Amino acid sequence: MERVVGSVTAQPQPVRVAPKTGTYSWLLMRLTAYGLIVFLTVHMIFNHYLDLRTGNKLTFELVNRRFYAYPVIYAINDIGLLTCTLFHGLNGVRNVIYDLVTNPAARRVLTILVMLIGLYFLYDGSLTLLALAQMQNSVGS
Amino acid sequence: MEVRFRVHRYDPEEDATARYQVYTVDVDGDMTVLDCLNQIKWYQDGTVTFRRSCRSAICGSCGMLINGRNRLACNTRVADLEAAEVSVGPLPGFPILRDLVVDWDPFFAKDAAMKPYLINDTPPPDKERRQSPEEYSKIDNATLCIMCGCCSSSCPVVWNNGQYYGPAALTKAYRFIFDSRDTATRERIDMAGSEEGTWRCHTIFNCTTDCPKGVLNTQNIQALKRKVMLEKLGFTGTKLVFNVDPIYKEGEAQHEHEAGGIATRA
Repeated sequence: MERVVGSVTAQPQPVRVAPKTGTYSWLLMRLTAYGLIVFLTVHMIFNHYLDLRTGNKLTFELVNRRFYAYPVIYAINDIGLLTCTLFHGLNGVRNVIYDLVTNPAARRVLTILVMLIGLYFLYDGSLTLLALAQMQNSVGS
Repeated sequence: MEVRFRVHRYDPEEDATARYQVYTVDVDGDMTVLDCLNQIKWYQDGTVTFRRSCRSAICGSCGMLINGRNRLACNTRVADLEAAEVSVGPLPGFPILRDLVVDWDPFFAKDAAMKPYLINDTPPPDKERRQSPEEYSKIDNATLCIMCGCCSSSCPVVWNNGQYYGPAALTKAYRFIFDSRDTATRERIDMAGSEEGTWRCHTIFNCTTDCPKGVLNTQNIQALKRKVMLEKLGFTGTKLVFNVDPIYKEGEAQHEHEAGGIATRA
């Protein structure tokens, strides 16, 4: 429908992309931000401030002992941290893509590419953390 | 006091690229930039082209880039700029037609997409459709918009992405979505909540800083984001969700505007 606004004849701009996609990514951006605060706090405490057995000196051995003490909690926390970090960071990349690229097909392809990159690193990182937890469990038993 | 004016010049029929031309104007105490441009046009160079109308900061015609910030020429005293030289250019991000005149078609197309008029399907009452002062306070600030384009033109996302609706159109959507008398919320949310709508706003705040009327554009867009999210996820009307409707306190907009007024942008 053509509307006349003042002396300018203006054609309303159509909606070009499915309306819900931005909603979910915006909501998940907020939720992962909260997740980052929680998981990163636990991660930092675990890696840098928690003193279990060997006094205050931070050594590789001390960190190893922490894995040994809480392998499952550590793995779960860091998988959560990895998930939130990847989503938060890559959604930022997606936002930059949407700012710079206006072609809907190119946006879709690049979004899928970003998702694949995220899923690969999530898979790889999670596998490493789970293997570490399993290794510590078997050493512990 | 003599002030040098560097005025953007571009004639599409003669100039391959834009250039700046310098004029010197004898400025009295209260003269505005528009007064000086008129002096230039009437007494020095009649070919200088710019839009102006009301001289009262109401019509929104004379939005320009003045010393690095979008302002209304009629509302900007030269003395307040505290500069020996005043640079005047067209609003950035808009196609330039000539000198200081830009093409407004894309801007108004985005505005028209938001259906900038009250829609109410219910039968009209005997008198007017009434609002309480509290209901009106949600849209009071947004109704100050004069469509001068200073906000959209100051937004880097608009510069990059011509499809982005921009703060002016989104504030217009906000103005009707949060209007208690309007019933076309869903239609507007489909537009404002699209990928080219609220989600492209990165809270840069240039639009709020540069608005000559003190409209809190960025804050309005953030309120829209929350509204869109709740509508899309079907949470509207439930008591589980906190109230996202903004109610600005009296004087808040003016305070933010004044605070932004002394800020500079790199």
